[in-house]
Amino acid sequence: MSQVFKKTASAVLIIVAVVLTFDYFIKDTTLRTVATDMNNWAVVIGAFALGLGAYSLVMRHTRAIYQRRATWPYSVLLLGTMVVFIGLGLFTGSVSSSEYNWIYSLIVQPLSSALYGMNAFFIASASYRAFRAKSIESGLLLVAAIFLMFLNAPIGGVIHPLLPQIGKIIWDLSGATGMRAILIGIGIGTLAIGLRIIIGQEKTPLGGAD
Amino acid sequence: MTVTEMLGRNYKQIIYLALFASLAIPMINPIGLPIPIDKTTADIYNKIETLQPGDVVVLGSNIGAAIYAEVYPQYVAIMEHVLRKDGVKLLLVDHGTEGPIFTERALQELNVYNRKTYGVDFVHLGFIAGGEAAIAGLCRDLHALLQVDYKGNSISSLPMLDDINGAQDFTIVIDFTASADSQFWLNQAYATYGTAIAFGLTAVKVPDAYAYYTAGQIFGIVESLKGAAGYEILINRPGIAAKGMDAQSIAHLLYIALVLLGNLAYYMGGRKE
Amino acid sequence: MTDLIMALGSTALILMIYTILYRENPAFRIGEHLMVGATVGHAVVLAIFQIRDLAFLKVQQGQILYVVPILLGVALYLQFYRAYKHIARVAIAFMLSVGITLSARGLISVNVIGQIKGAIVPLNSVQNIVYTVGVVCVLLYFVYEERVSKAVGPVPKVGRWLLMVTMGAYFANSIMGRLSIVIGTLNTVLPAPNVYLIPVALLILVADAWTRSKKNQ
Repeated sequence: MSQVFKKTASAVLIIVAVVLTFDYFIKDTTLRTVATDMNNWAVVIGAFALGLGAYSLVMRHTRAIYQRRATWPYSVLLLGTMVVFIGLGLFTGSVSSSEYNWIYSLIVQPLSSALYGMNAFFIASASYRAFRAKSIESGLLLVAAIFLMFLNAPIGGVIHPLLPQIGKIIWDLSGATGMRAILIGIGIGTLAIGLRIIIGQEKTPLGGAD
Repeated sequence: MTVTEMLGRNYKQIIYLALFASLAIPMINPIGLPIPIDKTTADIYNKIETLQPGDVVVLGSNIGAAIYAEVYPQYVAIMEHVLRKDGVKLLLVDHGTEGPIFTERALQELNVYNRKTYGVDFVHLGFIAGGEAAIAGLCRDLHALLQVDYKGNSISSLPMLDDINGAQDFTIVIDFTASADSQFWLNQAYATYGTAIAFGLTAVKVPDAYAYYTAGQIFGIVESLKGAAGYEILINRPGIAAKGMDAQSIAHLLYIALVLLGNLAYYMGGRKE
Repeated sequence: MTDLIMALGSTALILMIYTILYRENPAFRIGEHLMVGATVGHAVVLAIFQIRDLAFLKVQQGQILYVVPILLGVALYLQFYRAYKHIARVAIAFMLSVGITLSARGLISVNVIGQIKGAIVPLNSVQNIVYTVGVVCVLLYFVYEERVSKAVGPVPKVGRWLLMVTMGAYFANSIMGRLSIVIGTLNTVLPAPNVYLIPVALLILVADAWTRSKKNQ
């Protein structure tokens, strides 16, 4: 039975790819309708996928509570918060209701900002301790970064107008060379890996090789 | 323990305190440094200035709490600018889970529900799951993808959407995000329909977008808090973005000093770690 | 009253997260778990509304075929069960295929052709020559990396240097981005009465450091 589903999955990969590719090049009403439906079905499945993380998290933390692991009180807190948000969201019928907005602004906004902002402090201590110009390459990186910091901060132009000007030259150079090449590389690489997945060479995204 | 030993052992805490002070002091006592306006930001301003009645502006949002400080001021400033253009239609769509919250917050902050008529001048479609498939579906056929808007109103009951079927009807799209989602609009709206695209991004994503800008694939970028501050000045509505730039300046000087001091200590110490 | 709770509550949560800069501690763990629970709960709420609006509404209005993506969506959850994992493959395959094909269609014209077009500029100035040669050098570095080749000589090394300059740009922008986020948190923490929580937090940290040093002695 599992072989049937695996073969079906491989067939789905190719059929959907062919339909959507042909739809891009051939202007046909029936093809367009089918392609539109396929697109919209993927959106619906994507909506279901939003809950996958929650499902996995509930299973893991419920197990932690049941087995009374050292971190079980935190698991209770996590699941409790999740239930509160789900309950409030469904009860008020909208994530923009004043009640939901209030609790979101109280909990998610400050915590999320602080968690991401922490990195600024770690980068600061790394700037002193770890970022060494030990070679030409690292020297180039640091020199470029310094001039670009003068470009990004308004005070650069106040200290000396030449500093942001040099920064702008470095910025334009990196944009026209390195960044461009990186984007070309991303495009070709994504196409290659995508093709490998569709023709079945890459099995990991579907859950591993047979 | 000598002072040098204490500094050597506790350097992290000293650096953290120095960073905190370099940010907090200018925020409490602003210096008033001039804020330069980037060309990438000015290009968006100029493009919106050329909009005519009947044009459709799509603001895509993947704003989340983590990037709120950087991107939300951009979003508000650009939304305000579009609202000042009489007759221009505003279509708001979210492709991040936290997008609807901040979109509604911006609409409340700018008092849009009282200034304009919902369904005629602006529509909020809400969050659409599915990532690139969602953007593709929106660009292909909005009416086939969605039945209701964010408020639960039937799409067919909104007069503004009678003439808007997909990306071929969008005049410009400005997407506010911190992630690879910005690529979705390029792939689906620009590549297929030639829609004019611009981005409002966090600083980390700007280098990637700059390559698209120099290749002429997007017409502008609002770069992080700096861009938001510049845009606030352009529309003559200084907000929280402009206030934060002094702190940015002093903190940047601190980072530069730390890099230089660290390397000086390394080389003077005989390259010993 | 609710405004005061909001102000002090959000400040307290921000300071709880920043205590990680001192050391790993329960306050940080509480903040971390609160955030994960809230974010995931929020995603679930949106998922429910989305499934209702994008699928069930359409089925109600007569588009019976939308039962298929509903079934596929439910099948996604079977990947957590070894015995039924293979069923989830069909749903994953569908999503993957749509995603890959949609993005491939755009990536070719945007990232590959568009960027190559952007790189090909008239070689009528030093700047344009440097930019064109630079792109070629970096692309050659991606192909050859550290390998030595008579065909291209030291050109990949120049590409590596240009890549380092680009990394410098990413680093500088990363700093600006993180600082902006911290400024956002300080917009919450610094106004009164929130700012009075900072000395309270510092006192707690100092007391903790003193207690720990006494224990170590």
